[in-house]
Amino acid sequence: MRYLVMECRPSYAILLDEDGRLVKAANLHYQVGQTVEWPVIMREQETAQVSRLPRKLGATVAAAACMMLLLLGYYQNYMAPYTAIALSINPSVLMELNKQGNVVDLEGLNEDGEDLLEDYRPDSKDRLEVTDALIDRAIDMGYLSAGGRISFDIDTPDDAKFQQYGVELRSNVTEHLADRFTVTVEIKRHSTDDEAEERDDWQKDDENQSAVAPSAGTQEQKKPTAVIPVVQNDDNDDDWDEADDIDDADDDDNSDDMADYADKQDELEDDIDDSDDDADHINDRDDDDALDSDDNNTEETGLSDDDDDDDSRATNWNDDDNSVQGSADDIDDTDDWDDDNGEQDSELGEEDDDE
Amino acid sequence: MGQEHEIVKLVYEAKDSMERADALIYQYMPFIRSETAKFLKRVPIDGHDDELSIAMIAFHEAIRGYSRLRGAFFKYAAMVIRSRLLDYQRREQRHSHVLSLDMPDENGDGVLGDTVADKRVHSEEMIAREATRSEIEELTKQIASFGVSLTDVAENCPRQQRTMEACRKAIGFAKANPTLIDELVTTKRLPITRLAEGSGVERKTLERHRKYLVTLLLIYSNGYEIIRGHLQHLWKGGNGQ
Repeated sequence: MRYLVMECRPSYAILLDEDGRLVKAANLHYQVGQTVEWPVIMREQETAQVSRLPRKLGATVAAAACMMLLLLGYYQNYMAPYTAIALSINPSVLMELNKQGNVVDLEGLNEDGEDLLEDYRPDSKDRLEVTDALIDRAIDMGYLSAGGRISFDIDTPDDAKFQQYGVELRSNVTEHLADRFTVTVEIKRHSTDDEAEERDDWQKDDENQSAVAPSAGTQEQKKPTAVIPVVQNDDNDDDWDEADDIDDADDDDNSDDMADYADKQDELEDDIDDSDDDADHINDRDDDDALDSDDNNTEETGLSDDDDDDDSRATNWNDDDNSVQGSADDIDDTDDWDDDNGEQDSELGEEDDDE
Repeated sequence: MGQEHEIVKLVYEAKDSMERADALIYQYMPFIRSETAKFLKRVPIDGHDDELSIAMIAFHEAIRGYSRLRGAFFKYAAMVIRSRLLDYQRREQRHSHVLSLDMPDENGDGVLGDTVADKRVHSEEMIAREATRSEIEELTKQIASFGVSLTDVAENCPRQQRTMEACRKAIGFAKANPTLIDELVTTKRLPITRLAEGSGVERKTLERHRKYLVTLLLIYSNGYEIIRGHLQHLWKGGNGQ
């Protein structure tokens, strides 16, 4: 291709090619009117523009990605529910905590629970303060009175957190209500299906031993700061038994934790136990347990013996309803571990209804 | 930092105008020369080394292509200059087997150029070039009366093949209808509507390349035979008329 030099400037020249295009090129000492063959043509902007757009886009995308990561990190740490604590008195309330242990959401699990949360505006995110506030509300609204029971069902993937929250909640509630009246505080770990299967395995291993001996697991029974052995109504009985069954089953999975935890709790609460005259029955029973557990102090063995204890306790509570409790005992004693809790409930429920 | 802001402002102002870019290059000639010297590993000689001209056109490209996102202007310009010079050097290497006329001849008592018979007649060539030059000057003057400069036309020149085809069609139509060209010369207005209707090219395309069309149509008005002769390829492809 030949180019006709049309114009010469110090820093560039304008050339006309044979197709009628006018181009800018390096002025290699050209003169106007000259014909040249291999000019160095100036590259026009197009390529630059093309490459500039993705660069801009890339920067934007990178910035957006960084923001997303930051937000995700923030969300996981501060906003995403990590632990769920179901607080049940009779009203049930679900507290969702983030990784930091602050309350991110409150939800009523039954009508009473929704009732309890109505108009409640938590003025703090602290789990203990919220718990205290909820318990106060429950007392004010007449859901909780002396001898009542508070149960915390903790669902968390982190064992350490479970222990920490358990110890914390128990001591906090105990302290909080110390001046007023005594209630049963119960901590348990929420079980999932996997855990249930595991539980079955455990149960098979421990079946023989468990038939014989009570054990460290029984110490957990001491945890209630005090139990007033007064039956308030039949429904409550049912709830309690059911709760205990679940509780005991869970012990299998967390027996290590729970043993430690129970020890800690014992330290905390022995004082209270001792000073509490109302809890005579329990204390007696605890003594028995203590003796038993001297005999057999292995950690996991005989967790199912809790059942026996429960039952014995249950019978204590229900002196009038011996028949019902007796049959409940039968169910538990005939190694009905594998049964769903629900099934047991229904059986118990039916029996109650029959009465 | 303050200096950087100043140069960035100047560069952005020079993006739209070759004249301003030219002035900027004049101002920063020492920089361009030093970059060239770094590349050549010797001091370039004005008016002798092509590399210097290439560095200048590269500086033009740098002005056009620069964006704040690309960091400091001078670093960017240095990079563009270096890569352009490298391109040039590679291209020249392809012809490196070509002997230089300035090389000493076999006997060592002259240069090679003296021994080559020159078939071209220098005087005729000089006359032809002179004629071309006067034609081009005439054209430059004429388009200046339309408020158009050759640099503008170079900016305005269609780049895409398709657009080029469309313009060619329009020019072909005007060539076949000389009244249109006459009208352009007398009224100094491009009859875009009639061009668009006659050639079937979209009006918008023609408007966008108005300056280019004006220049090409003027070339086809009268005179300018040499330039017209140069444009022989224009009708070879496509819809040759």
